[in-house]
Amino acid sequence: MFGFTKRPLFLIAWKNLKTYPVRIFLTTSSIILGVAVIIASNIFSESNKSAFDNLFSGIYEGVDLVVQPIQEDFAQGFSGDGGQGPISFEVKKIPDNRIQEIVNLPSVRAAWGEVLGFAQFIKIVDGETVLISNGFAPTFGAAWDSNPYAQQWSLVEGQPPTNKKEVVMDVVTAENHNFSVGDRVTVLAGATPASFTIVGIAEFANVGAPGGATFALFEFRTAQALLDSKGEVDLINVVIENNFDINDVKNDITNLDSENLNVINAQEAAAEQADSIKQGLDFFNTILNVFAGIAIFVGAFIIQNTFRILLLQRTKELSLLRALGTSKRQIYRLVISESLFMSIIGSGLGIALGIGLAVAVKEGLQYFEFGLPDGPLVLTTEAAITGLIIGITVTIFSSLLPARKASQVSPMEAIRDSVSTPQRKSLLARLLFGSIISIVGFGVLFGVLYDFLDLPTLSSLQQVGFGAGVIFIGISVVTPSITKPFVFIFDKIYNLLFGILGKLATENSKRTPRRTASTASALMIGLTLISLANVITTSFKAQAESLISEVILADYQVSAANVFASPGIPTGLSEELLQLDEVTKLSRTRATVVGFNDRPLILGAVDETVFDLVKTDDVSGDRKDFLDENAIGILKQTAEREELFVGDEVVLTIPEEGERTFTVSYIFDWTTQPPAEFFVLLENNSFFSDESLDTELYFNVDKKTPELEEKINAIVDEYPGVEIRDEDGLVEEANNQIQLLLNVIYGFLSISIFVALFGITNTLSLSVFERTREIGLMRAIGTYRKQIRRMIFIESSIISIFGAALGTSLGIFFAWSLIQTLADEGFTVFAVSIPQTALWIGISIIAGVIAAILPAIRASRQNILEAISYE
Amino acid sequence: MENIIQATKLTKIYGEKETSVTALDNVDVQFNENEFTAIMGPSGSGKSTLLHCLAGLDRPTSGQIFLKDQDISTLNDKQLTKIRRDSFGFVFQAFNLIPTLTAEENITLPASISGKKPDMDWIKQVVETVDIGDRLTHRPNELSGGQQQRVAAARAMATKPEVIFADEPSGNLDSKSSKELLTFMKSVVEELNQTIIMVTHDPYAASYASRVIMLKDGSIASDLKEPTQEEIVAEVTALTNI
Repeated sequence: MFGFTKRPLFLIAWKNLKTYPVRIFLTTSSIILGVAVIIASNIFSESNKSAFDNLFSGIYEGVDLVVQPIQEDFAQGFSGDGGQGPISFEVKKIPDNRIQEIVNLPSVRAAWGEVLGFAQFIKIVDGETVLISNGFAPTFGAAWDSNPYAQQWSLVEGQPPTNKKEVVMDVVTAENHNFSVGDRVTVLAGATPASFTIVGIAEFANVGAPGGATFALFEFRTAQALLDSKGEVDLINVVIENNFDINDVKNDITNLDSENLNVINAQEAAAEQADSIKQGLDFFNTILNVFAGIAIFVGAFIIQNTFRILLLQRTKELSLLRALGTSKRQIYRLVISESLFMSIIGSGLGIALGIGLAVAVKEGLQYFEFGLPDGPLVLTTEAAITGLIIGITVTIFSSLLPARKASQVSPMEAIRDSVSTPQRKSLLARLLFGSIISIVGFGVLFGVLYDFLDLPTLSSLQQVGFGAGVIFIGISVVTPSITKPFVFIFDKIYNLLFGILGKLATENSKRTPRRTASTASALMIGLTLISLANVITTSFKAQAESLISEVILADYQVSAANVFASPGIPTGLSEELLQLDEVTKLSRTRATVVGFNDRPLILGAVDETVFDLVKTDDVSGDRKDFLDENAIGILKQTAEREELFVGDEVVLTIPEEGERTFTVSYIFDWTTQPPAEFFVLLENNSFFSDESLDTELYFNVDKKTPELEEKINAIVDEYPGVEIRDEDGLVEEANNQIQLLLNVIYGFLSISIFVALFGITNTLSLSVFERTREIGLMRAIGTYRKQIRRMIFIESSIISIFGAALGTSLGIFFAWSLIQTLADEGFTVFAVSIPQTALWIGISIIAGVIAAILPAIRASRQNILEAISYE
Repeated sequence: MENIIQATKLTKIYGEKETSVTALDNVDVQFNENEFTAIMGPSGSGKSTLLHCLAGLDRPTSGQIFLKDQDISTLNDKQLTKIRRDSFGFVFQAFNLIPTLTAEENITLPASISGKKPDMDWIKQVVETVDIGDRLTHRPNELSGGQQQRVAAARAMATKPEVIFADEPSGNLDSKSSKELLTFMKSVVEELNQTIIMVTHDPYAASYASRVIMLKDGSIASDLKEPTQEEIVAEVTALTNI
């Protein structure tokens, strides 16, 4: 039967796709990946948002009102200052007899107090104490809510805690660290660890444990004692009677003590808290979307390239259509409809893959105990539609130029015998145009760096970024015209290394400079970003290293391992260390929050020796005067801000002491993160000597030996929650954090390399296709299959080295510019990690060879007779 | 004259069952060393198939091919490739040269891929004979069709092969270039002691050969020694008319 259709081209387009599924895959591979990343990031953040919504409504499940203490002005002012290192300051709480008063109100059905503080589980592994925590998440201790209305925690198994020797553990920690009911566990709360029996395992608001935090739940009085809340609670949860208006009850409670009590609506509080966390997640989502954008951008390059390639292979078919009377316009539409079909299929597959990716990421994070609330994965319709639209738009836009080119095919092509090679247009225009763009980019970049250019309304960082972007575009335009000179470098080397096969491979890369360049460009993008990230982090590491060795003069530094879990270091440790003959110098640091001009401020106390152990710079006054009674030292920045000078008097409000007057005797610069803003000498101030905790210890030894190290470690080990580090340890710690960040970035950027791989495969496939006869001839005159494969691999290595070299150089240059821009912020070190750079270039070459496997096999299996026969 | 290559009961069938075509039907043939042999026949007579099988480019369905004493019809791809590289030379109708390599690089290509040093004295002699000494650094697209074919012939001889196979070598050339190439091929056999087996449909080209084998329907129809062009034309006409 002959079918007749009004839309024959649409039909042809559809039949073409049905007949060549591999085409769809090759073309859409990059779009599939790009869409997948968008979808995955969206699912991931949406799911987390809904999980956090559940979590926070879970926290206040069944609670109508929450009673909080009003913090004193300066404490609130302080918390707005941001964390300033380990400090201890007084937070106001609510006396626990207030609970009974609230319950006694006729409008209140139930009320119970919450006690929350820092406590950390400790386990012993092979005789070593290990502090249990999930990454950066806090470790909490809390009171078990025995009130029947309290619904936050529910027991999974066991009993609630009833005495001071019992504890309930959160289910996530119990599962991850293999604890079960009946086990003994050590908990560090405050300064001293104590042993408890696990009597129950509990789940928090159906999410296990919130945000990866660990929870130790104690009997109420025990919690108060352990968590520094004797006779007090942190807040009170209230359930109201049905027949009362919530606002009236709010007033009733506030009226009990309006100066100290703040009553809020629980559901509003839940929404507020969830929102603030969601904003944090949005940032994460933005980063993911940037990576998705990069993948899509690289994908657009590849789609365009692949379309060109596929259409070139189909020259005969298209030209036959032209010969049969199809107009140019119709050919154009044919190609566009094909790309439309492909984009729909590709985006659909992308969405499916995205869901898979989201599941994988979630599982992966759970595997690393990176606690995010549990919950179902959520794919919103908006996300799916966005992914679809982006996929379709990018694909169709990328196919416009190739489609136009295909429609220009001459009907005569069908009759001609040879495989046509693209016409060579002069690359001179490209070279000129690209160079001009690049020069403008370099102009902007150097102009900003050397201060003779300042674009309005942009920060210098943005200006440098703008310059870098322009350079990148310029270089992308120029690459085809520099392909030949670049490959020229390979000629001699490859000739020497691989003989005639090397020569053939280099010649082939030069034959189609545009194609070689655009394939390499896809790889270049990924490598630029990777080497940018690499150099920046390497430089930061080097910076941190030089900074640490410059400013830390002490051989060892002791601090609290987890500032959330323990407020400080028991003073016994410094006494024990001082008893060692080998310890030559030791300085303790303590800190407390004091009031100054009605604002909170951290007052630190140090030993005289601190100036030999931490690098400080004199600004004015004399260090000797600092030793006088009633003398106070002030940080340079604080002195400037408060307009204080040597000789001025300052009045400080000290907790439990009252007002004290000091004379400013010394203004100095503390070159590391300062532990306080005002400093006094420890031995001069009894209110500090009474404190039982140090915040930091610095000490020197006469000679570092392994034996001494062992001795010191043995002493420190007696104090769980305390960490000792030498200079290497500090550097290592800084490096680990940077490396972790870098690895995450590498992970995402690898996707763009993966996308680029498909581009290399496509290009080589075409290259092989175009050389059918050439390869057949080579086989006929005695070239082994192995040699043909090797030739394709060599060709691929040229493309990948080209892309990697360009990308790496650009990345290093951009990183250098960035660091120059940050010089004012104190970033002065520019360092390139040769091993890491070499590693990524190596990975690119290996990736290129992997991408060449299929084309190479295809080339080597070329039928010789088909290639050399003429009809 | 020594027998250098021979086929016994050589059969080649293309396709399967009903659609199958017998290109060669039990062919027995020997070729002598230092002789210029032409294989002729109408389209579909199997002349190209015979050449491809002899040259190890195609595999016979049954029968054997001996290169001197070695049965090459049972070799695997790798062994066959080595034979083609070291013992055979090839001149095809068109697309004989790698476009990215110069004439000289094309001539030494078989030696290059075998990783051996080419015999430069010999190559110089060959290049002189084919008269392309002044074009050696040119790429194929800078050479005329005749020059390209002569470069191909020079490449075919560069490794001193046992047999040179030529598949319509003058098919795409004008009569002047055609004459030059054939003259050269003849002189190569007479003066440089080479062996050439050439497939052609052109009686004029065949007249340069010292022996002409006629194929029809996959079998040998006649085997002429030192025929004149007139004898060949007569024989072709006779074959076509039957």
